[in-house]
This record gives sequence, C-alpha cells and structure tokens, in this order.
Amino acid sequence: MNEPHEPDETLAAAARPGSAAAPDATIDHGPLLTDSLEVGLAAAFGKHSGPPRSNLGALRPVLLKEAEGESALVVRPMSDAMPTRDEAGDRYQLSGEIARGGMGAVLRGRDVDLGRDLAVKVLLEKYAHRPDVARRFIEEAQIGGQLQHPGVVPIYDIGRFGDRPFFTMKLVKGETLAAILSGRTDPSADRPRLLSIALQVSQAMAYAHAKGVIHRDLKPANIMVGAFGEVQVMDWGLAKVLAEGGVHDEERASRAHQTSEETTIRTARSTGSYGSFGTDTEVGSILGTPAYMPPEQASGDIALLDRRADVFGLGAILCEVLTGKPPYVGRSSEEVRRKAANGDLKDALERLDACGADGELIALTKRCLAPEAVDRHRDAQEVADGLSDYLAGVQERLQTAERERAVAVARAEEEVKTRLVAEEKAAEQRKRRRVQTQLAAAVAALVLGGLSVAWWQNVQANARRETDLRRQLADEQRAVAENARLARNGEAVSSLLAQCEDALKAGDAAKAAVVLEAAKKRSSEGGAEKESDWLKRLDADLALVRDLDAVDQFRCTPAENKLPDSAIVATRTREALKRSGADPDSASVDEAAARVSASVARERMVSALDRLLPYSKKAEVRALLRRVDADPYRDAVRDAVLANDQAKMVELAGQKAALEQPPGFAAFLGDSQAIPVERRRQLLQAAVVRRPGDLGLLMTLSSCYPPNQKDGADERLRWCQAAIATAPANVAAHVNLGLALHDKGRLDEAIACYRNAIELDPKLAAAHNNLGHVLRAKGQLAEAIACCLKAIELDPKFAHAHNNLGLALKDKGQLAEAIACYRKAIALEPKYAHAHNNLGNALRAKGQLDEAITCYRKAIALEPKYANAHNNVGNALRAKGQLDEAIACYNQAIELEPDIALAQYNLGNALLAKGQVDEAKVRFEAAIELDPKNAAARRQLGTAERLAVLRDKLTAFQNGTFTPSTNEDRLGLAEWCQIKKLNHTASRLYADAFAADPKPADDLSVQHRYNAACHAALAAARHGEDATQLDEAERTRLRKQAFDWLRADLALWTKQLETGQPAAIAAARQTLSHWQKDSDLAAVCDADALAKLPETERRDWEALWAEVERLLKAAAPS
Amino acid sequence: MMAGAESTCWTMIRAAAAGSPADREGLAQRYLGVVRAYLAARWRGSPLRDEIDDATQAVFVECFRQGGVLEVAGAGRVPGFRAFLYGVIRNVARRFEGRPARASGPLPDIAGDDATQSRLFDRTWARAIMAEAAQLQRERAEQRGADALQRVELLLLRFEEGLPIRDIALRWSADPAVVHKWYALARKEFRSALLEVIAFHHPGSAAELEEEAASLLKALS
Repeated sequence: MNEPHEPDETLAAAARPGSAAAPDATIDHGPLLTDSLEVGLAAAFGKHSGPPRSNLGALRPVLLKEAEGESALVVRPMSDAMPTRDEAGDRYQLSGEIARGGMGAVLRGRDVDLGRDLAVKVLLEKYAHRPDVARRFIEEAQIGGQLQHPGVVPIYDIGRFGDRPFFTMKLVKGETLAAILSGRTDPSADRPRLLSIALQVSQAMAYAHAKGVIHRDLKPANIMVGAFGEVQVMDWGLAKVLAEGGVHDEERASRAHQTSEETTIRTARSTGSYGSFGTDTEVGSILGTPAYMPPEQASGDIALLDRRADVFGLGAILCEVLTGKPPYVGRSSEEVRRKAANGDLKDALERLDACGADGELIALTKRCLAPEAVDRHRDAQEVADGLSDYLAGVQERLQTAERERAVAVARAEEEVKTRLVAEEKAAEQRKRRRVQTQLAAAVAALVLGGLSVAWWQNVQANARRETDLRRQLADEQRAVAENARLARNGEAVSSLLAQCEDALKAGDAAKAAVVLEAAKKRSSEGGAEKESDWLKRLDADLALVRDLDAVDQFRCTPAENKLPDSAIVATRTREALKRSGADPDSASVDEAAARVSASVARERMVSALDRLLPYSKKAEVRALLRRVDADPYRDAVRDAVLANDQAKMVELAGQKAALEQPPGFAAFLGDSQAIPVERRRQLLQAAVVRRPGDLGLLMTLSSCYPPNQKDGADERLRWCQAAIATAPANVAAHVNLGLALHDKGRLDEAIACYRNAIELDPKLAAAHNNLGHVLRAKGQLAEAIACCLKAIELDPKFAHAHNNLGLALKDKGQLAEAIACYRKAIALEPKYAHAHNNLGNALRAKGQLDEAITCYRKAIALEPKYANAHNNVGNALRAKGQLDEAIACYNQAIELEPDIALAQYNLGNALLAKGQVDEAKVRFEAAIELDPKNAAARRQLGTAERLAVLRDKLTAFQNGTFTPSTNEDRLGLAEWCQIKKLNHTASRLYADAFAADPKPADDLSVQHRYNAACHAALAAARHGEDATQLDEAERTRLRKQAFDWLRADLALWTKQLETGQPAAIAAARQTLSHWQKDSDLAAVCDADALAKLPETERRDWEALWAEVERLLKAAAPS
Repeated sequence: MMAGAESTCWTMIRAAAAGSPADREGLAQRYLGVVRAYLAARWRGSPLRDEIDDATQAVFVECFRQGGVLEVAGAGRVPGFRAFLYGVIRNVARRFEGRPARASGPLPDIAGDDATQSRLFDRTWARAIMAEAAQLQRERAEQRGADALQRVELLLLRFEEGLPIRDIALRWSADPAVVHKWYALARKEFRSALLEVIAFHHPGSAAELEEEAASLLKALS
C-alpha cells in the first residue's frame, strides 16, 4: 500500500563530533503580516520617521577654551538675538553664488539692516534633512564665530532659511593662496610676500591652537588673501575642538595611563575646487586633502591626530610656496592618498633641497613635514616663531648688508680722497725733502722695524684669542643644539613608550611593536638613557603578549582537522610564561610574582595563569595567583577548579560578582563546562563587551549555541560573524560561520564560507566535508560526493565524512554503497549515533526492517535523547504492522523534542491506521502548525476529516442500508475498509468510484488506483476479514483487476519519466521502487507466488515487473 | 535613491572596496544615518555622545582603509551586510567605550548586554530601511502622478497625524469606503517599495526578501 510521504531523517556531520546537522530549518515565506506592516508604515511615515529634523535649538553649542589672557566669553549661538526664519529671510538679500562645496554653497549677500555686503554659506538642499551634516555645518559656524582673530574670517550671524541652516561671514574680496601660487611662472618668484602670508597663516593657527581648535584641512585653497593684503584662514568645516588641555597635556598624562585625545576624519564636508595634484577634499572617504595631509591623518590613525597635524599642513603650504608643488604629487588621487598614508616625502624633500631657499627655511619646512608627529613642531605657535625669527633674521641680514655696503662705499671714497691728497702732498714734498729723507731713512728703518715686530706679535695674539673664542662659541652652540636635540629625542622616546604601553594594555601587539620599534630607533640616537629600563620592560611585555597571541591563535586554528587539545594549549601557554620569567614551574613564586606585578600585560598574564591552573603544578600556580591577584571571589573560583567541585562552580558562577570580573577571568569562567550553558553565555557576553576583539572569546561564545537547534541560531550566527570580522583569516571562524548559516537555511552563503575556509586552508578536511553536506542539501549530489571524497582523502579516519558520503550516495539511490560508508563511519567511530541511525534508514529503504530496527536501537542506546532515532524506529515498526509499539516510539520522540513535526505526522498516520481518527486529526494539525509547508500532513488531515464523517456509514454500507452516491463517499469508505482490513469491499468501492469518475484514478499524487490494486491483490490472496471465503473465480478476477490497475498506473509513470523533469523522475523512482518492496503485492510479485499462478497470468505479471525494473533503471540517477 | 535593479549594496561595496571614490561617497551617504543613529541611541545620556562624529568616521575609516573590513567584505567573504555593518560599528563603539574615561566625565551609560545592543541596531536599521522605502514610494508616486501622490499623503495623514480613515475621508470629502481602497493600495505600494529597498541591501530570493522584511518589521514591533 502506498504510505503517506515519510521523509527520512537526514543527518550530516559537522566539523566537530556531536555537531551533526538536522534537516534544514523551514521558514514560513508567507506574505508580510498585515499588523506588522502597520509598524513599518508608522516607522516610515510617522512623526519620528526617518532622520530626525535638525533643530538648531537642540544642538549643544560648541564652546572653545579661553586663550591665555582672554576674558571669559559666553557664546550663545541660539540667544534671543538670533533672527527667526522670516527675519533672516527679510534681512538678507542674496544675489548669486560665489562658490560651492560638498556640504554648502557660498552666496553673495547683503545685510539690509547694516548695509554691508557679506558672504552667506547655506547648507545644500540635499542635506536639509540630514541632521549629522547640519550639525557639522552649524559647528563650523560656531567654531568660526568664536575664533576672533584677524586671520580668521569673522562669522557675523547664524540662522535658517526654511529647513536649511546658514551663516553669514565677512565677504573677503581677494583671491586664494592657491590661485596666487598657480599664477606664478617660477617657484622662486614672489617668495618674500608668500612667506609673509605663510607667517600670518601660522599666527592665525597659533591662535586657534591656543583656543583648542585644530583645522585639519590646511591648504592654499583654504587661505584667502584680501585686496588689502589681509590673510584669512577659511573653511573650518573639518575643525575639531580638542578636549580641555589638548593633546600635550594628555600626552604628559599618558604615563598616568590616560588616553590621548582622539580626533578623526569626518565623512561629509565642504570641498574646495581649487588646486591640482589630488588637492580636493574628498567626500565619504579619508577626510581632509591627501596632498597636504600628515601620514597619521591619511592612514586614519585617529589616535595620533592633534595640533601637529596642522603643523604638517603649514609645512605643506611652505613646501608649495618654496617648490611650487604640495608635498605629495601623483597621477591619481589614489596614488596621492597612498603616498600620504605612507609618508612618502622623498620627492618633496628633494625638491626642497633643490629650491635654492635658505637652509634655515628649508630645515623649518622639513621639520614641519616630519612623518612622525613627535618630530614636528608642537603647534602652530612654534612654526610662527620659527618663521618670524627667520624673516626677522633675513630682514636684519638685509639691513646689515645694506649698512655694511654703505660704510664700505664711504670708506672707499674716503680712501680714494685720502690717497689723492696724500699723493699730491707727497709729490710736492718729495722734491724739498729728498735729502732729509735720505738722511733720516736709516734711523726710521731701525725704529719702524722694532714697532712692526711688536705690532705683528699683538695682531697674532689677538687673532689667536679670537679664534679660540670663536671655537669656544661654536662648541657651546653645538653643545646647546645637541642638548636640545637630545632633550627632544628623550621626549619623543618617552611619548612613544607611553603609546606602546597603551597599545599593550589594549592587547594591540601590532601597534605596540611599531611604536616600540620607533622608540628603539630614537633611543639609539641618545637622550633617552633614563627610559632604557622602561623600554626593556615594554620589550619583554611585547614579547609575552605576542607569545600569548600566538597561543590564542593556535587554540583557534584547526590542525589535522580538529582544534588543538586543551592540554597542548596549556603547554604552549606555560612555555610562553616561562620565556617571560613568570612560570612558577621554573621560577620561584617570588620571582614570578615580581615579573607579573611589574608587567603592563598583568591582566593577560593572570588570565594565562588561570587557564594553566588545571594543567600545571597546581600548588605553585595557585600560590602565584594568590600573590598577584588576591580577590575573594576569584580565589574561591580557583579553589573550586582545583578541587573539581562542580556544584561550587555552579554556585559561584551564579553570583552577581561573576558578571563583574575582568574580561580574562570572565572568559575563564565562561569556558567552564561545569557551568550551565545559559550562564556561560551571559558570562562570555559580558567578557566580549569588554574585550570585543578576542577571537577565542567569540568562538567559545558561538559554540555555546549548539548547532542543529533553532533556539539560539541567530545568536550563534551573530557571534560567528563577529569572529570573522575580528579575524578574517581564521579558517575555523569561517567553518563555524558556515555551520551557523547552514542551520539558518542560508545555503549559498554557507557554501561561500566553506569555500573561503578551503581557500585559507585547502587541507582542512572538515571544510570539504561541510561543503559537501551543504551541496547535498542543495541537491548537487555529484559535487557533494566529490567534496566528501576529498575530505576522506585528506583525513581517511574522518568518520563524519564517510557518513556524509553515505547520505549523498543514498540520495543517488546507491544504497549498497551508502551502507558501506555508514559501516565505515561506525567502524571508525563506534559511538557515532547518527551513523547508526543513517545505516538504519538505508537498511529500511532496502526493506531490511529488522536490521534497521537494530541500528536505530543502537543509536538510541548511544544517545537516549535522540528524538529522530525514536521516530525512525517507530516508522520501521509501523512498516512491520506493529502499530502500538510504533505509537509508543513516536510519543517518546515527541516527548524528547516537542517541535519535531515529523513525529507528530507519523504518529497521526499510525493512529489513523488504527482507526483513531480524532486523535490522528489532532496530530496532523500539530504537524501542520509546526511545519506549515508539510503538504502530506494537510492531505492526511483531509483524509482524517473525511473518515470522521463516514465513521458510522461503513457498517450501514456493509448491511446494505447505505449506498454511497458520491465518489467522495466511495473513496472515503474505501479508506475505512483499509483500516478495518476489508480488502474485498475496498476493491469493490474503488471499482465503483473509478467507474463513476475516472479522474481520481489518474491522479498520481493520491494514488487511489495503486491502493485499489493492493486491496484487490490482498483480497485475491484471501487477506482481510471479508476475503477468507472467496472462490477461485473471484480471486482470479481480483488478480486481473489488480493487474489492470497497476498496468494503467505504470503507463502514467512511464509518461512521467518521458518528461525528463528531475522531480517527476525522482517521484517515479521512489514509487516504483516502493512497488517492488510492498508486501501488499507479495501475492502477485514474489517468485514463489507467481509460480503458483496459471501460465498466462504468470507471464503477464512477470512482464509487468520486468517493465517496472526497466523503468527503474532508466530513472536511476546518473 | 534606489540604484538600478541589477545593483545591490554588494555591487557598491565591491566598487568602494576597490577604491571608487563615488561608491565610497555613496556608501558613506547611504549608511551614515544608520551608523549615527545607532551610536546616538547607544550612547544616549553618555559623555560618549560627543564622540559620535568621531566614531562614525572611524567606522568608515575602518571600512575604507587598505586591507580593512570592507575590502574583506567586498571580496565576498562575509555575507549579510546588516550583520557585517553591525559588527564593524560594534567593534568601533567598544573601542571608544574601552578607552579610560576622561577625568571629568562619568562612565558611559550603555546598554547592559550585547543582545540589547544588537536589537538596538536592528531597530535602527529597520527604521532606516522603512524611511528609505517611504522615500522610494514618494519618488515612485511623483512619477505615477496625482493619485499616487495622494495615496502617499494618505499614509502621512494616517501615520504622521494619526487620523482615522473616516476623518481623512471627511477632510477630503470622499466616501470612506473609497478611501479605504486607496489606503489598501497605498499599503501595497509601500510593501512593494519596501521589498525593493530590501533587495538592494539584502539580495536574495523572493522568499528571503519576505523573510528579511518580516524580520525588520519584527524588530520595530
């Protein structure tokens, strides 16, 4: 008889033992519910829908810190004096657009009340409903409005035109520095004037820095040079107000473990339209202008961004003034950005060396452009001072040179006059005194000789003194310069070490290593001797953190197709601690305690020691932990771990204090299998919140949500995704995400995950196996088999791969091969319950019911709560006709897993077969509720309902007091006959029904005709209460009837096969295969039975079964 | 604005990861609101509220930088953009929260557990998607003409002003039964716009879109 649809349980192995997957979760894909759409509409169109309207009044005003010597100012951008929208509209006349940027447009306007021209910057219409952009826009005005300096364009007013905020500012009539620079034909042209502009920019920025504001987008396009020579810094749209004290204070405080100020790059801002070489401010990307950006800004390293970012900008402007180009030049903006991020200044420095400017000016510019922020001037004031000194020096040198030139000219003129006079006098006297001269010559020669010697000696002594003095002075100057350099160097090393310490505390070994390397380099240049101990300590701590990172990575990386054993992980942990001198196994407790206590990574070390506790010299580790981390709660937990006191662990984990532990300890607790899984999840989540980038934590947390279960599937998926985001190259994370996605029915995404895992580790058998499992679920059997075979090739002892290969082969109809695979899996892993269960399914499919039941029972013995195995043994028992035992099995499955729709459905069928129609209805309804897509359950529910109506009519029909008038009644009564084992009556009812209307007979989906043939064959064999007395003629007629009905069905199945459609072929294969095994047809199928039939009849039946066999072969999967 | 039918968020993400400035800008503009809104809700009443701009920027810097998460996502490694974006925001937010508090500020007041934060993000995301669907419906209505625009107006009156259908009918001097029909049609149009928006952010089969829509609506309820 045709059984209602009864899908086998299909199981597949996952990466780890015990993580086999259940049948795919089913999802109701029904239309959106009416009520829930209301919620969406309310969110879409309701008062609080979409982005909230920007409200200037709701914005917290930006208040700048007071510069030294300034009186207190209270800036109230939203004071009562602010014009209303209408007032603003009346007050300002707008006459045209001057410029346009990414965020706002600058319009030319006129203040009617004050009668002055001004510039009006208005937020672009497209951002009118973007509160984030509006807020930045208004902040720009607020910052600009509070920077009262001749070098900053003054802001007059702020308000709104409708929804759009605006602010007014001075209309500067002039041109930008970018325009001036681009108008030069030679980079050396107009240098003094341009340097004077650069000085004024530096002074304006010095003022802004004193107010705690950094600009972050200094470039020639943002410098306006007025018609009267006034210089003003514009576009404060990227400006950032530093926290009180600014970066330097925080740097100083960093040794006291405070963070440094963080400044970032925004995502939408106004952009200049000037310049070239990638000089436009970019929108939606790294912000600022790459051609003028310091490396820390271009690489998005927000932790390093402070006033020195602007110092770099000033240097970049100087660079363009001196060389005609900004520091970074490239063929594309991407190239410029890359150069900026890498601090690739080689070209700029070469250009500066060749620009012909004074060495002092070049040195100043180069220091501004130093790739390391610590090497630059600390703020714009230092740049302004340097530039001012240089320009003053130039001026002084010019004046001195001029003075010296005038003196030299005067002296030369005087000398000429003197010489002429002297020559005239000499000529006159030569004649008169020739004789006296000749007489005096001898005397004079003697006198002059002596004087000359004395004079010469004096000159020599003076020269020596001067040389000595000069040398001494030069030495002193060199010493001062060297001392200054050493002091700067020491300061830089100290700052770098503080950053390294912060990075180590945050567990960021990569960043710590980079910073420490820089510190070492600087330290070798002198001036940092007092930091040498600090540097050594951090070096050792970095080595330790790297070691522990490597252990964590090892812990989360599968090797030989499985995650490493905890004991091996503990050994590696101990080795790492040993290298750092903190292993109590090799060092004394005192020495180890001193090492741990002095370490910046103390918490990490304590955490490692905790994990070591169960595996190492317990007393020593315990003593060490008591010394370095004395805490009553943690002490109690450690004692419970050592005593293996699970009850105590559960009690301690349940305490509130458990959630307040440091992340490392919370992770340690959350990893304990003794604690209930719910509590472990809570503990691990608390730990993840505090240490979000910890891959081990995330993977442990995701594993707290077991696979194959609906509960927690979303959470599991979420944590797996977080693990991937943390460690995109971790293969185990990809495998776990694949499992989670598979559980959610997102097969394509799961496949992508496994393929990623295979790309990362082509030899990971688990990934190949899991990929095969998903492909099988998608019906791609050939690929699935290939994957499983690959997994087996990589790991021949991988029982799950053998099991999965068996499943795929069974799907292909290769039962014998599938059975061999299951047996192999069981041989490799005798306690593999799912393999036993699957072997049972394959044997049942072959009709070996008793062997199948043995397998199911074995699976249940291994896993008593294995609901599907209980369900399957029920199916086998039902097939054997043992309905009561089957019902007990189904009930057991349902008790274990109330949501198992299949067991409800099967129980319904068993109850129906017993005639318990009402109870069956309840079960079918339950099955439909659990799995609304279960069409078979709906059909059976319909059957049960029909049977309930006809319950009392069967007796009347048998008595002859009731004659069915409709086919519905005839077919319903036939089904009752099946239940009551009245095969002869059933075949008669079917015959009547088909005579009245042939359509039901041809409906292969319900298979009435096949069932009718079964009844006829059974009755012919005298099975059934109403068939025991049938004579030979009637039996022959019934066999002929059965033959004709089967023949008719066979013709229809042949047509189905001819369509070539996979679904039709599969259905035909399943049905015809069932025909061959159906015990109801034994009397017309088994060779022994056929041998007893008359020759002609026997040949007909043999021909029919040969045709069935032929069709089955044709329908076999390739 | 919706991109062409063949374009999904992943198309844009891949282009952005490859360095396309336009797509980077587009991506930032499209998701900026969600990121900001989530952070604002997460840090409501906390001093960290002042860091929203910086944190928002850090999210995109994290996405765009070379070898960053967006590049990984663009290579097709991480499915499900919503969950992916949430992961990035959460990591950035936690980085900010993990910094020692400034001397003067109180400790951040953030949601107590990650499940809450995840729901918070889901709600924020759902609101943004609904708003985008409403915008799309408006745009479509502008193309379709006055009747369609009136149906959008009907939704506004119904949900923004909270008017019952009969009051709207009274206001428009129309038969309430007719307005009910318009209302049903407007809802259908919204549903269609919603599925289209979801298809952009969450490409998948029709059934998967329905499922995602149901999940978004559940997050709002």
